Amino acid sequence: MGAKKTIAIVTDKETVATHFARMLCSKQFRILFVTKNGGRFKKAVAEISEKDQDAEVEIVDCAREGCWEADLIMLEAGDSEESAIADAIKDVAIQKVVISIKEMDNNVKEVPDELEKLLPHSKVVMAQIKRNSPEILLSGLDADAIEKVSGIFKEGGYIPKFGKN
Amino acid sequence: MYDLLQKKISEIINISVEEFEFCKTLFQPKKLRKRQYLLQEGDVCKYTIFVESGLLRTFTIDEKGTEYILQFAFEGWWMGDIYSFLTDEPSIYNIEALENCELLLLTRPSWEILLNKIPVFERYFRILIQNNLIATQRRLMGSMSKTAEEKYTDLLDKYPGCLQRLPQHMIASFLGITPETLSRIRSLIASRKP
Repeated sequence: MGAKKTIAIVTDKETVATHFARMLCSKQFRILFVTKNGGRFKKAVAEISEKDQDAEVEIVDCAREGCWEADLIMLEAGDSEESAIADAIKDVAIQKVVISIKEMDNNVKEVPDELEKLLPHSKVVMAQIKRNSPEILLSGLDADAIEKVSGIFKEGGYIPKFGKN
Repeated sequence: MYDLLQKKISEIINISVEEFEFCKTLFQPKKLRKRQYLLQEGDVCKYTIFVESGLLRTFTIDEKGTEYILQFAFEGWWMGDIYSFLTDEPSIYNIEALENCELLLLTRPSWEILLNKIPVFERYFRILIQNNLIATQRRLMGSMSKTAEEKYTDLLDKYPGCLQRLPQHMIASFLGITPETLSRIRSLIASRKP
């Protein structure tokens, strides 16, 4: 068993965070919920910790601190909020994989230019998910980062597909 | 976040502000909490590590569960398993934070980019490796020829602050002696003081 990697899940949506935390905890990742609404996440933390005694899940309220600790960052937020978070974490996200999670619609999205500009030294991967579907559409400029993200989601039961970029 | 790195680099080579700014874009900043691992035996060592703050140790464990500490890394030091880093072979070492740490991690691809884009870093890393080789030879020679007391006093001369930051059993493990022997040496030294 290797050293646990830390994943920061930056979102205020408890359902999204819990879903990914459950998926990743069993894969030997340490999870940091990065949220301003920590109170809402306490139940999820307790539930995950109870189910898996080896699970390491914590709540952090500062995006910069959480992402500084992280080896990999997952962002789930609206576009303007996402930009604000990216701006706050840009100096601690250098050389890290940053996954921008969006709901899949009919359009294959590319990594937004603004996010690329805000995180020029990070490896940004766009992950589009569809509710109640195992498919996940990945796109981005860094092939190694996409491969890494694909592996993580595949182990979590997703079927990765690859978009443009 | 990069102050100590800049200071340490400038002690060995001259680089411009622009070059250092570029250099910063290659290092992954990472906070590690006390007792967390950056590397575990069997993993490939993906990084060479610079310690901005905190304290790390590299160690291995034998089949009986005995720990052998190879190295400590204080602020301003580099650490990693160079064999695993360069060959992609699994490491036989563990790297653990003994204090909360702020680290800067450099992957092999980033390291190669750094050496290609700013060739004076070839000199920087050559000097680091030279120094490391000298220290390793001295440690090896010391472990073969010096008494436990000499090894202990050498350690205190080289790292005066280590007693405050390292538990006794780790100092003993680093010196290759038992904690009981270390305790006896410390008592002996204390009894000689006027």
